[in-house]
Amino acid sequence: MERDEPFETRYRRIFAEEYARLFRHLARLTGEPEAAADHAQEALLRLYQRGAWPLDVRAWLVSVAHNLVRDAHRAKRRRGRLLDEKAPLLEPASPEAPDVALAARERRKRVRRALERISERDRHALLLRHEGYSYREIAAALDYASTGIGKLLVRASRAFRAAYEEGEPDARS
Amino acid sequence: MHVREAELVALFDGELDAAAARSLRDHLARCSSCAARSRGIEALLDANRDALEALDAGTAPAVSVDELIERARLAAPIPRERGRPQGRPRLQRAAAVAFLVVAAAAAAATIPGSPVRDAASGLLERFRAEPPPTAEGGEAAVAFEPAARLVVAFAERQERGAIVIVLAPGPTARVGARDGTARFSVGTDSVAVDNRGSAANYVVTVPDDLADVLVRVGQTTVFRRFGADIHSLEPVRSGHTTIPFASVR
Repeated sequence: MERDEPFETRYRRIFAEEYARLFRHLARLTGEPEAAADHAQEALLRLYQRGAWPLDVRAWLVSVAHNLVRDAHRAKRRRGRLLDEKAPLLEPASPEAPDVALAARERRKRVRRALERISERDRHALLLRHEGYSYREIAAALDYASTGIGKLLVRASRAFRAAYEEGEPDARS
Repeated sequence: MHVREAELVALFDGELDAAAARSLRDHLARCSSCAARSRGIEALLDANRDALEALDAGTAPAVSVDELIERARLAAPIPRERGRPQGRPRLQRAAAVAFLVVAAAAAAATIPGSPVRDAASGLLERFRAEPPPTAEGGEAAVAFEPAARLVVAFAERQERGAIVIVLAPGPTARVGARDGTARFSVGTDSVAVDNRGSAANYVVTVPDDLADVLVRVGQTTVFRRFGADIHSLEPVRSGHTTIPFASVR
């Protein structure tokens, strides 16, 4: 059925399905919602310009978006860093009491630091899975064997947990 | 035989088929050691999920798909709001624009001494052998250095004429027209060719080391290079391809 669908009709459907999802993933990955929106739109724009459907559209979009994130980080001379203290951290949509907001902000920083400490592949795998991408899609996006995704996620989960617990205030003493 | 942790993660992630999931659950019901590991993995995944939820960004900023499509058609880079990090340094863009050459009588394919351009010129001669499609004749070309990719977008399919795409060394991209008129709009990484009503022939010179190249006629992609992959409406031989407009759908 998809094969019979005109390019533009299918593109509009994919845009409606994938834009928000890709944005959420990139926002978690970068901690910068505005940049995440830019990268998600650029990836979708390139899909239109491509003029032909990749084998796995979702994985292709993620792969292109990851490259855009890498290029942007390189351009900002922030290679290897995900956490930028000056960058706007993601704020919850609903207003919170100051102490609750502070605690939430500290927690976000801690999560970001933990993500920064693990490898890029582990970070991508963990965040893609958190957003609900399938193992097949994760494998295609990361150019990884699909049979190895379970193992990769176990390793990434343990690495993240260890890094997160290292960042616990009590653990630093 | 105990289950592997990767299988347990796949079970919790819903990635096992029904039969495999049933078999694994049966094993967990019988094996206390695996059941304990399973609880450990489940607790790890739950804890990580809770932590990652702290990063949830809310809703994506609204964007119109029509606007995005229009931008894609024009092959223009997405404008960014002021104050946001720029995807490409301004100096680089300025350099690209400064490098722009618009020459009414200097087509890219006629610079003497260049075998590639001589070849392109020779290819165009084939089309020039036909009666000139317009009375104007003449040549025009633009040349610039794309920063990361190149998009050449022709506004529409012509009744006559052809596009010769030449893969050439060096950083410079060129788009030239002969035997007819066309207007060029140059962006950082793109050239929009307004060829409406024209019957010109074109030479598109693509820098050999530019990995991401797209040439479109209307909404049809006629040439695409992404990394090592090249897709072209007509075969690429000896570093060039000739795409008659007649072959474009």
